[in-house]
Amino acid sequence: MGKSSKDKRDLYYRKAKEQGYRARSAFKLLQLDEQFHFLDNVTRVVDLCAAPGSWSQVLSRRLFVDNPQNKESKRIVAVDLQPMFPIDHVTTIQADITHPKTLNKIMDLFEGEKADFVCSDGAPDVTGLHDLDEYVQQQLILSALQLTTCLLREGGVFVAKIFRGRDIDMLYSQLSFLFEKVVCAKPKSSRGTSLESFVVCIGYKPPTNWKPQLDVNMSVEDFFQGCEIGRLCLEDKLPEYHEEPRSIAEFISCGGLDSFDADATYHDVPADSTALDPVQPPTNPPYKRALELKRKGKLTRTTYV
Amino acid sequence: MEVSELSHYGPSLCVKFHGDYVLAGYGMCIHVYELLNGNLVNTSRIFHRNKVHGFVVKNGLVLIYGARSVSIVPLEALFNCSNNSKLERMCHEWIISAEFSFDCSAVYLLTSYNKVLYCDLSLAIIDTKAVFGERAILYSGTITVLGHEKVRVNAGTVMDGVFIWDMFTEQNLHHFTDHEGSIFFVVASQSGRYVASCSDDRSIKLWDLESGQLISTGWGHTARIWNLQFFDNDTKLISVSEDCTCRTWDVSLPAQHLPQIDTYEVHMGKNVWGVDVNSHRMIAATSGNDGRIKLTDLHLHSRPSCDRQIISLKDITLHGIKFKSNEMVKGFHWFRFGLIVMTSEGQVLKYDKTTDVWSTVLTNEKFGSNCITAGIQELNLIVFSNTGGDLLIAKFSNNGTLLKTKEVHINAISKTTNCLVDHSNGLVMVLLQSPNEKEPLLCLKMNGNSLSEEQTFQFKRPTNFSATCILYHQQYLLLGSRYSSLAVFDTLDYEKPAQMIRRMLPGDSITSLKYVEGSTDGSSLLSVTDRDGYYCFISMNLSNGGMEVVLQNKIAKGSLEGAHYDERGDYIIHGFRSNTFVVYNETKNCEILSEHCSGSHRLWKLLPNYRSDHFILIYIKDSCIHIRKIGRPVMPQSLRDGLHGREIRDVTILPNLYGVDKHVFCSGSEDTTVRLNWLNIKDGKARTVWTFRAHTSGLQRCKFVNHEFMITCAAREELYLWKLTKRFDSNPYMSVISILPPSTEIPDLRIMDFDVKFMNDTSDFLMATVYSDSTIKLWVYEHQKKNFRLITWGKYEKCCLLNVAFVSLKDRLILMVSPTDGHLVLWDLSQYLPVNVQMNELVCTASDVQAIFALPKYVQRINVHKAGIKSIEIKVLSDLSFLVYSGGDDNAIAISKFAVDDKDSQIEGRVISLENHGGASTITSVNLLNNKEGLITASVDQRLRYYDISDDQLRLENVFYTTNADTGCLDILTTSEGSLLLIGGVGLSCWALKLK
Repeated sequence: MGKSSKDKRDLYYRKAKEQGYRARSAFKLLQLDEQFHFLDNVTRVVDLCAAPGSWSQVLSRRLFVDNPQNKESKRIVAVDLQPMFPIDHVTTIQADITHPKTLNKIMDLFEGEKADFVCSDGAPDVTGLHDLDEYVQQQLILSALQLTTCLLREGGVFVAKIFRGRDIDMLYSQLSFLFEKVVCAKPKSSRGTSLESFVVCIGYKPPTNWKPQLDVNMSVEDFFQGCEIGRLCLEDKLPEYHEEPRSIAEFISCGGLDSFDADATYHDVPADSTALDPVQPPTNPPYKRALELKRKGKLTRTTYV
Repeated sequence: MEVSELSHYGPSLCVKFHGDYVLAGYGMCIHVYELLNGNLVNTSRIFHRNKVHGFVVKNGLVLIYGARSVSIVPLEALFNCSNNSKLERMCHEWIISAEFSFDCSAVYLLTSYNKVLYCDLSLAIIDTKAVFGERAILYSGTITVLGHEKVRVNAGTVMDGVFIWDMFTEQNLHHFTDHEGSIFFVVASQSGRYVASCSDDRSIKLWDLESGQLISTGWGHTARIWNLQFFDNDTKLISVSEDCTCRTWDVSLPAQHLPQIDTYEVHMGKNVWGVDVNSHRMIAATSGNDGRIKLTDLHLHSRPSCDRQIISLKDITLHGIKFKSNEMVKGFHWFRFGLIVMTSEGQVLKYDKTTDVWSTVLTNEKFGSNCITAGIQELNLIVFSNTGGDLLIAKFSNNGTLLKTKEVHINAISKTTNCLVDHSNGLVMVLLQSPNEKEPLLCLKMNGNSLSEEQTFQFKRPTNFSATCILYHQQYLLLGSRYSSLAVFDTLDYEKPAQMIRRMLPGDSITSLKYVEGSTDGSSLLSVTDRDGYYCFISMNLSNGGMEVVLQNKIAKGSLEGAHYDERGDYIIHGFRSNTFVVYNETKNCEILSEHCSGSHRLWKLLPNYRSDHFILIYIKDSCIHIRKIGRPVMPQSLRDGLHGREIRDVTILPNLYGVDKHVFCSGSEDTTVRLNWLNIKDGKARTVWTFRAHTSGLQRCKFVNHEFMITCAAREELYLWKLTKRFDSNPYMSVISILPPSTEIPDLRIMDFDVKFMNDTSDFLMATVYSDSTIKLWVYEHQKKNFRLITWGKYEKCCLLNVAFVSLKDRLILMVSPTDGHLVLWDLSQYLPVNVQMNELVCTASDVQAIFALPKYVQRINVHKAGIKSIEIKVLSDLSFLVYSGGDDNAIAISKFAVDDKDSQIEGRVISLENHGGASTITSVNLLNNKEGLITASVDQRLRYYDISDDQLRLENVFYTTNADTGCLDILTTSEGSLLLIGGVGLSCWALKLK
């Protein structure tokens, strides 16, 4: 698909380019906020798995441009393993979200105060093994959640990208142990053909006897052992198969009736308009060398005898 | 309600040889196959929900793992017990790999957090092993058990290369970081000295654990590599990949560049997941996303039934035969006794295959330099023709003795540039063609034994005709030609001009014509191939030229030179992919042979080799004669055939095509193909008959709309009308008979859905199509003209439309559309359409509907779902009311009731039952069954739910789990015992439902 046909196929792609967002996913956060208003009165926010940074861009505009009052105390921290180009009013940290040092860095920037809002738009590369891909995505969310439990204030909001697959109701169930309300929200800018949605967790309420503690030697599973969120416990004997707790979160579609449909084809892109370049050029994939070899005809599928 | 799964076709993630058996993880089960005959010995359920990702067999025990499940099952129970799921145990982390301890008294489970759970055989945890301070998340890993206390973990991380660590000392031994991206597999050699790994960078790296150095890197795969195994005493490595190939590599010599030995295309669509090699037999087993369990002969070229000979002219001189300096081979043919060769000097040589001796048969200098050679194996007869009109025919005995020769000179044409030969009932037909198009086609008919000439006659050569292949059948001579033409001559009436069929296929030269069978109505079924890779089956009345293309298809790549049905009824095709000669099983979608030869423009012949399903390929390369035998494989080509390699987007069943229990169904997939399959309702087995490659984009819908028509739609505004023919015994045949015209030259719209309503009892119908840009179109299909005519055009809003349905009431036709905005939108078409609706039927013919009108605004819409409505079903209640069952992206299922006011034609609708939590994820399909008293729904949460809807309320009765991820489509067949369900997604399952 060429640049211009993608413009036509996906209006949000074009709009992102026009409005200077690094990715079309910016509209997903905008539409989520339009529904839940979770960015109305926040001071300290954290964007996890932030690269290339479109959600941080939204946070920056919402906190510093749309609501310019009280600027001095406002803080936005964006964390990713990948480097990011700077964004106004955003402190970017290149770090591992599961490492205790990362938590310390954020807490330093927040001067010991807790965050009002944590979000994560991260997703791993998919392998095509649906069960593995879903597991890895849920581990990523739980990794984001464990850091969140260490720095989110009571009553705060956590938003993360999910894929509604086989075990998504297990995740809903686990999140509902930690939050007042858990909603599955689908912005209009997210394609209906994609399993992508967002879990919006409102009103953080950690168990009273549980003190979250990040430790490099603990897995996400170990981390949540003490907190009774319904995950399988590590016992002396591996338990027999049993159904784990599941619950289905309320579904909300976000983005008003006037917002564009990510699945629709739009014709009102002027035919003679020159296609805009993507705001953020694609990064170097690990298989760059393989692509070069292929281009030179060094990789072939021909079966030789 | 009782449910039993009759069959399942879907991703197989692991496969292993065990003696003369092959064990394969298949969904939640393990399949046990006999290697030599391919029989499925047992299907044993291992886990409740999780898929089997891997297993190890040792000391009569099988350690099986998949996701967070693990089980230790006695080997015997895999062979004779259909359900072992009670042994399943749960782990709190994903299990990457597992191994038995050295003495088999314990097991090691490697989890995704780079930890090893050290458990006893009852799966009680003895200890947890990990490297302190090193936390890594793994995508892959294996455990090397070298001794009681010598256990190494080979860990492939998501971000941080490969770690090799000692399990008991919990120390890192090596950290390899030369790969880029996630490590997808890492495995040690049997000796334990080497480790091979692969990553997102698509390379394979070989490491020496003694020196801790990278030895070599291998490139070749064009996508991600998923699995690696050492074999043949650690001298070779095998890899499987997302690119559907399996490759072998030579690791016996240290070299910076890892040399690739062979490539095999083993699976369809995407992703080969599992691989194992039986080094003793040199057979590889692979398993893939397509559900196929494939066996590949790694020693094909050295099997006795498939050997090859390369003979140079110098080799032949050792038999006392002399050649001139520039003499070369100009033609050949293979017979029971061996090979007959014509050289450029007119020497006819014989190679006796039993004695391995070459001898001269005769020399005739008139032939040679510009000679064409044709032969008939059944008659031991060879025909040489030169440009000057000379023909030399030689007849041999079965053991190769020359019995007769005959020379003929033809004056009727000035020059001969083509000579085609065929036979029928012992009569030989020789056709000679001149380069001058004005000259006639000359035919000689002779007795195949006595060589006595029966008749010579001339046919008037049709215009734009250049014969390329011949079929002599009954009294008819059929000639394929360039420009994709076919001429049929009547040899009993050669004055009669040929019946011509022009532009039979999209390509140019017809390369083969084969008679398949005759039908009771007197028509003959012919198989036709062309050089551009198209093939078709035509049903022809040879006496009057009546013709119908009953099937047309294009092969995946390359040219076609010929095709035939083999003994098992599989359609076997052959042709070239650039310079590689390929024999391919088109029915099973797998390659039988590929031979790197000089290409189609050089001399080559593929001929039967006197045993059923044995062939011989002869070609000239580098001035040598290459003779390659193609025998029947030493083991089955596959243990299970599988279906699509990517998501199945829709399935549609056509019941009772060949009697009560014989059904066919079509499946349309993301991989752009449509498959026509047999469905056996006793065991649920699906067997593909044809794989159609007509679409260029992923399928959206496919649906049989009556007993012979099917419609498919896809992106790029593709919508095809197919017709299925069942009047031949060999197979059902199906062909596109009409294509919906797209609205622009470069279509980029997606056709999301369609519905049809037939007119009276005709084959004409009204069709509605809905598009991704909110467009709705109505068409009239006129079968006589095989043509779609647009009659209405309109738009709903700006959002994408997902479904469309006609609702026929007593004297009204309602059009209903479901967009991504969650509404049900309705029009009363009977107000605008110039057709009568009487007793729920359209009373008109296509020609009655002429006017084109713009679709006005809808009369009613109601908001039922919070997001897109993915699937709808309709039940008409009365003359003026109906129910709509819908499932949406909002996880909800609803029943809405609509009523039309007979006076003002207003439609009122409301939701009468709603289940907001109809699934944990998108509801992708809702289907009525049990006399419309039950509703079954499918959701991406991999659960099917059965609702009793007898009182128009949704009452959940049962929930069933399916292993098909991305669960997307359902079709239902009503049987005498209940219902049969086809469930599509990543895989296909067939279930039998019985009401209690």
